[in-house]
Amino acid sequence: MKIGLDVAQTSAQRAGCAWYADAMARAMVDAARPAGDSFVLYHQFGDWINGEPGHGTYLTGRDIEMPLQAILPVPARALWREIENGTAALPGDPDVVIASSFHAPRVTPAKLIYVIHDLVFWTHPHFATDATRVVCQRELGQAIAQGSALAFVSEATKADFESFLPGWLESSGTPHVIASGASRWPKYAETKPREPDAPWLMVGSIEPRKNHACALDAYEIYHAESPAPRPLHIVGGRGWHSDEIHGRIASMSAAGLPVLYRGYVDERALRTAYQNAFALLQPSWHEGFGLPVLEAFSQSLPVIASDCASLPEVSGGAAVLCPPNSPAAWAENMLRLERDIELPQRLVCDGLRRASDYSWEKTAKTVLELARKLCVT
Amino acid sequence: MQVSFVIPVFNQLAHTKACRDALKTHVPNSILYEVIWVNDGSEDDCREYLDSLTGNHRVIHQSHNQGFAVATNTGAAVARGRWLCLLNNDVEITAGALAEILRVAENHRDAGIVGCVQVSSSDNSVDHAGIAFIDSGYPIHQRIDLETLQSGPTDRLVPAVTAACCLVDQKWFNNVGGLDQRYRNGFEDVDLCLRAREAGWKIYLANHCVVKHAVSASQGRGRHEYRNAQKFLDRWGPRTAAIEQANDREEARRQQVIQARSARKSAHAEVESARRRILETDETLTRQRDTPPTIWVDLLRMEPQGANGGIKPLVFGFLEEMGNLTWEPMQFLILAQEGLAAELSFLRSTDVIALRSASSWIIHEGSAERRNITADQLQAAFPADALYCPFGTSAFAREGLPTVALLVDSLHRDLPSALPVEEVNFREDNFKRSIGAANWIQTLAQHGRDRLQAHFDLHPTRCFYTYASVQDRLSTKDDQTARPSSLPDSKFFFYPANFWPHKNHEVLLTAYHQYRHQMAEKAWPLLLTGHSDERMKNLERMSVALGLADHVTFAGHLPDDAFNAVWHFAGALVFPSLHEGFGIPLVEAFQSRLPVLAARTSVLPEVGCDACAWFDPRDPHDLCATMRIISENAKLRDDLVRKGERQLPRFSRHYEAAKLNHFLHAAARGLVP
Repeated sequence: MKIGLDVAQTSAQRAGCAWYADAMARAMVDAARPAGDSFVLYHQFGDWINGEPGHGTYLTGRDIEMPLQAILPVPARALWREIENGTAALPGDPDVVIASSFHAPRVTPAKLIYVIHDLVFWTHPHFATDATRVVCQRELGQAIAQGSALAFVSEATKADFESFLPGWLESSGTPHVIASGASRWPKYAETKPREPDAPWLMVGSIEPRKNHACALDAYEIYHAESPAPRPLHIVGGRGWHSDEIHGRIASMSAAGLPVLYRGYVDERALRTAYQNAFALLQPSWHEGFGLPVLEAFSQSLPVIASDCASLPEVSGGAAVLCPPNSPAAWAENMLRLERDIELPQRLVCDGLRRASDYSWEKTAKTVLELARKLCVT
Repeated sequence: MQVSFVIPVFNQLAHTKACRDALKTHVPNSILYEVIWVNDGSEDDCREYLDSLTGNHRVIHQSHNQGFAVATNTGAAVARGRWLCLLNNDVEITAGALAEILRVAENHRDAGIVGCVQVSSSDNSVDHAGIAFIDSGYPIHQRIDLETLQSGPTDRLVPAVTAACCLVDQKWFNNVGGLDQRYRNGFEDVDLCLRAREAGWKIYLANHCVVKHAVSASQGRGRHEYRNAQKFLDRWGPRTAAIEQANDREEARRQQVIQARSARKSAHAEVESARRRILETDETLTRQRDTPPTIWVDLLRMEPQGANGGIKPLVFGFLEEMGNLTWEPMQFLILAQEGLAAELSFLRSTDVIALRSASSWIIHEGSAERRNITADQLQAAFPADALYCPFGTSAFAREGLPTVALLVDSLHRDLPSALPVEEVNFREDNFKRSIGAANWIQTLAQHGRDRLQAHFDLHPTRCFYTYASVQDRLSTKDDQTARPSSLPDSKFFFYPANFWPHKNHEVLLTAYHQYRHQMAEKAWPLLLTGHSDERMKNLERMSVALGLADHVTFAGHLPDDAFNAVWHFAGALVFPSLHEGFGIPLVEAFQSRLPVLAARTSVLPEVGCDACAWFDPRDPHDLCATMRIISENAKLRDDLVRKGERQLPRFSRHYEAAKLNHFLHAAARGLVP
């Protein structure tokens, strides 16, 4: 079997979905290689055309082709239009293609497995730009139209999907699996208490959905009440509508509060940040999966997360849950975590255990099974 | 026949007799005239008196009292004179009055209505010498004392006069349906004058013509004052200030010209050159008035049939309606591709069509056809005074040629992901060049103007908007229409839109799937029309995959009669589009008496106001709930239909075309910002 893997998103600054695509590609190769399967990586995929080629997930091996890794945007766009019109063949001629960047071009005769990360563009329209929405809904429609198999990243995302198309998964007999993400790093077990100045950590691009406002409100309350307040570190690229939050951060640090915006950081720096922090704050209004929670678990970091969408499911009882609309509750839990010596330790243990419930090997196996089933029928 | 007097009578026998006697005494024998009495349901002896009149008197009896407007229109309908003299039965004309007012009327070929000075029969004070407006637009009588009037010029321009005694061009009066019968005994005369002004006539007041008026002796005037005023102010209120100002300016200029003509050549060079300048300006204005400017309309980017979406019916509608306007007339030169010839047949025979063939132009002028014309010959034969670009830019734009460009929407800036990247770049370039080159930018709504200002910093004074409106073909609902077999048997939801990403079909199909899931067999079917393309096929596949094949019809682009049938039989219009320049289907639905479910985005709330069931087009749940409410609640549907009809007067084709006409005309005259 030849497996096509969409790694288009990994060429740009990586956020959750891009890490997902990257890890998925690596895990699929690891899982399927022993059976003699081969692979095609697509660095330009459908309407997702990267302006600057040459970046993105890079894998080596005789069984791996990367035909679009170095292609420039204009010919890439032309090529994909021809592929969609049926006038050009899909390079590499795979049996099955795993699309993980929200794009669902026509790849016939190959089968398409379409990964659904979230449906925020419909469930919380105000948390997605019109530009994103138009693309996401168009591509979702195309995925449905060409009868792709679906891979939901969490049960919560599947439930969202079913709320929009009630009964359809079953009545149409569409093959589908849950293909959850997992921490991309090996476990780092560290049970001794953190440094007294270890910071609170937030991970995620600055955009309304991530609800930085709640964390900042909570931090103000916490800072006023804690005997020895820890700093707050915010990690993540600049998203849309982020000016207000940046303004807040600037004025808070001007007022002497130790709030630090660290911007986008690379993989290694991110792992270090997890390992050296005191706890992760994840107050999002909505997450399709919530990768930072699992990553924190795997690096022995306690987590306070919001009680919305996929977060209760993914944290599986190993995190403190809080409503995202109540900064006071967040502050209270932050103070509790700081006062109570046993609570962080318990959370670290639970977290490590929970992290091992998810692994890329498992996910890859699930997806591979689905792919094999598709190719047989 | 020179003059037809039309005199409505409702009681007041004494006044009626006096009025008749004055006519007999003071109308000279040299004037050919008739008198049409309209007995408006009098309850006293007037009936017998009127029946006793003979000679050039005619009497029309109306069984019951219907008011001044109806009575006057009834009388005017049978009039044969060149002029109508509208007269109240409590007015007595005086010696020489008729000759004087006729002299003024005949002296000015642009005179549509001529009024006279009215003095009160009780104390001889001047009661009316033209109408003026107070701030809110409420009309009042100008009261200038008699000596001033008598010693001044014989006539002057006024914004309006009363119909107690005035001359009106008979043919025009009957053509426009006479006085507006929605008014009842008041304001209909001022309204008539303002309509005459709009149609290009001038209103004169004969300063030396005096009649006596037993002021407002007729019964039942005050009763309708409030409602009349409301109607009048709704229609004209905001415009009266400008009308009055324009009138005063015109009158001042006219007097200047009269003086300059009559003055002798002055020895002072400066005085003389000022005098010359006034006369030259007058000549230019007269010449301009007599020769309509030539407007080039660039339709070269228009495709045959439906590929251009809503813009084609829109532009055709404007061109057709502008051709019907009687004031500020213009000569159009339409530039189009050869394939469009058949679709341009609606144009006036006076308009010239230039079709571009492979290497040259083919000119259709009336029935004549000329071939092999070069671009230079075209420019020489029909020199352009202004250029109108309904597609933004034009290859004919050049320095010094006033240009008006239509920019329909800012989709490429508001929602770039809805368009291929090449199209975004093309539009950006097009917009920048249009805004840079055109003197005026036309948009289709206030919203479009705001977006242009936000994105391109376009100053609002360089931009005007005209609402789109519906072609008349949709306006009548003929119950005889047979249901085409292709349409669903029951009521259905209808969405006319080309299959462009911003039209949001995915949300519609998803919401419809939910709706179907909830309502099962009670659900209405869904009909989608629009130009068939690759994306339509994709959406069709999506619909099939969702199991909706039996309930959702993709009808493609429909010919006119099939399209009309859809409007006729549909149960509701659903309009989930994420971005619109105007949203013509909303107005079409109002006119076809269809309830509307519309997206609460972009321009749509401005167009639909309170007449639509609004939903968030980004949320399939919300759309599904709205579809349910509409299909289940007949009372709500009726309510929406009623509210929709109430919106229709906002979209007058005539008014919007007049607005465009005004800007094109001003551009052609070089009056550009």
